[in-house]
Amino acid sequence: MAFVVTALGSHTLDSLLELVCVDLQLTQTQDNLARCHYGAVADWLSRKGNPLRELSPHIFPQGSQRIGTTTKPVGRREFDLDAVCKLDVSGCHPGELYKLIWDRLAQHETYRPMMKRMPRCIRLEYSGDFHLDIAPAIPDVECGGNCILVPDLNANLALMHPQNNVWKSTNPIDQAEWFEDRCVPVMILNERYAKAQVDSVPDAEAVHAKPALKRSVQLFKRWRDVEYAKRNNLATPSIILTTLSGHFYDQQQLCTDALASILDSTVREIESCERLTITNPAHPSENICEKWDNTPACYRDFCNAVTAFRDRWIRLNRLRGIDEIEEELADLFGESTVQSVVRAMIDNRVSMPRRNGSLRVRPNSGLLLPATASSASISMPTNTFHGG
Amino acid sequence: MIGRGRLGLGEQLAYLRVICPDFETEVRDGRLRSVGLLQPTEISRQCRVEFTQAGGRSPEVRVISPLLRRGRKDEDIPHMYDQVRLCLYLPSGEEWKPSDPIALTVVPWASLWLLYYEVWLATGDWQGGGIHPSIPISIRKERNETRFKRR
Repeated sequence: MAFVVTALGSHTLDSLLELVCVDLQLTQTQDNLARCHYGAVADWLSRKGNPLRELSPHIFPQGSQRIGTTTKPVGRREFDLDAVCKLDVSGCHPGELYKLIWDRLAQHETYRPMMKRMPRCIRLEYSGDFHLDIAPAIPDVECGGNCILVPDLNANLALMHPQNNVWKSTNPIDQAEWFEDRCVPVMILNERYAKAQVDSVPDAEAVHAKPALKRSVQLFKRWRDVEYAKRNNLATPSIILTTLSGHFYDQQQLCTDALASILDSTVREIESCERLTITNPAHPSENICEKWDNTPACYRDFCNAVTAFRDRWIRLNRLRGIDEIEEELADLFGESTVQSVVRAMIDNRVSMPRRNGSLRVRPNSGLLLPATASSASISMPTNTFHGG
Repeated sequence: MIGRGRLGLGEQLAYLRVICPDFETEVRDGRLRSVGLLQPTEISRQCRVEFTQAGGRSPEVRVISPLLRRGRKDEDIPHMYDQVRLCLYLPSGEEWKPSDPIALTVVPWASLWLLYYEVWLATGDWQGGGIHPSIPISIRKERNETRFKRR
């Protein structure tokens, strides 16, 4: 079924969604905490005099923190930061590399009790609600460029087990670069990533400065978190949602239109093939749909859920009535978030200008406007609602 | 606010026809009636609102359609007389006077009311401020922007 997906959105709805995205960002405290922990671990892994230092460690963030699409967890789930620790070695066993970095972290009294073995990374579980995943890596000489190899270990086998001699080739740096390129015209892109040994986590962007694609990804992920809150094992990974969004974003300025296009193109693609296959755009041989391969129910569920989301998004853009829109947004993105956002938007756009005398109105239609509105409007006269 | 003498129904009609040309406005049997569509924001409902004035009396405002809904917990809608007419301004004459064109005062206030009504339905809070008649006049001014307290 074909939908018209262009120019659906309104600026008012987009403002509301922008505020939803503000609410989805990590709080300043969470963001600072993540940066502090990352900085401390990066320092420990790269410090002079440690055995890893000889192997030119390069530590850098990857994933949503790198590209500015983090979303606050729903309910009690932890938030995390993903990082890579690349060592300049070759020809080693994946378990050997993993052990090198594991041992260095274990030398730190604080980190030792926080470490958890994961198939492709070492997890540091901080008390509270944060964990840092550090993926050990070496250069992928065969693929070249920024490609890296990370251990793909079976956590139930010994590190050096012959069956654990498996690498996964990936390229998070160029993947992030590809995503950033999709956000803005190529001509205004700057050289982003310096060749420093320890790359800092990019500064959090103000949401109003965030391209529509990034806000769309935040909303897509948040929808996933809310939709799959009770069947989390079937949730589609963020990397898939991010890559689909990057592929199908078509330079729309409004997030409402951008997400409409992303969802509609995703559904059309699903309908036109047996099963979606998605690879890392910066590393075409890297399959990022492993979860769909391993759990076919996850793919089937995604197809149904994203189709329903697409249909609801179209309806949302046609809905009228702030109460009905609030109800639908609350259902999609979580009630606590949306109610506070509606209050904030009305306060900023109407109540504050009304208090300071800058609110304007077009009497013929009733449309309320900011102070900069055209001459077809008049100043809102002072009134006090009364009675009742 | 406009500062001239009392406007007759004919003058109110003239103002409405110039400022709100899409409204259906007439004076019949000594009563002004003007009906128009108001939509405070592009995501708000479009509401058909009726403004009436009988000679010399205060204008009355009703929402014709869609039907107004009570709160989620069946609360009364804030700032309405008898849950029928909108209470848009102080009755003391400080804010609306017979010399004020309805088109430039009551019509904009009705749109503002519709906005706060939808937000009230959404959040349970009346963000438009106002005065509840049971609050003594001496503290009304101070509470001008306080939240509406649901009963």
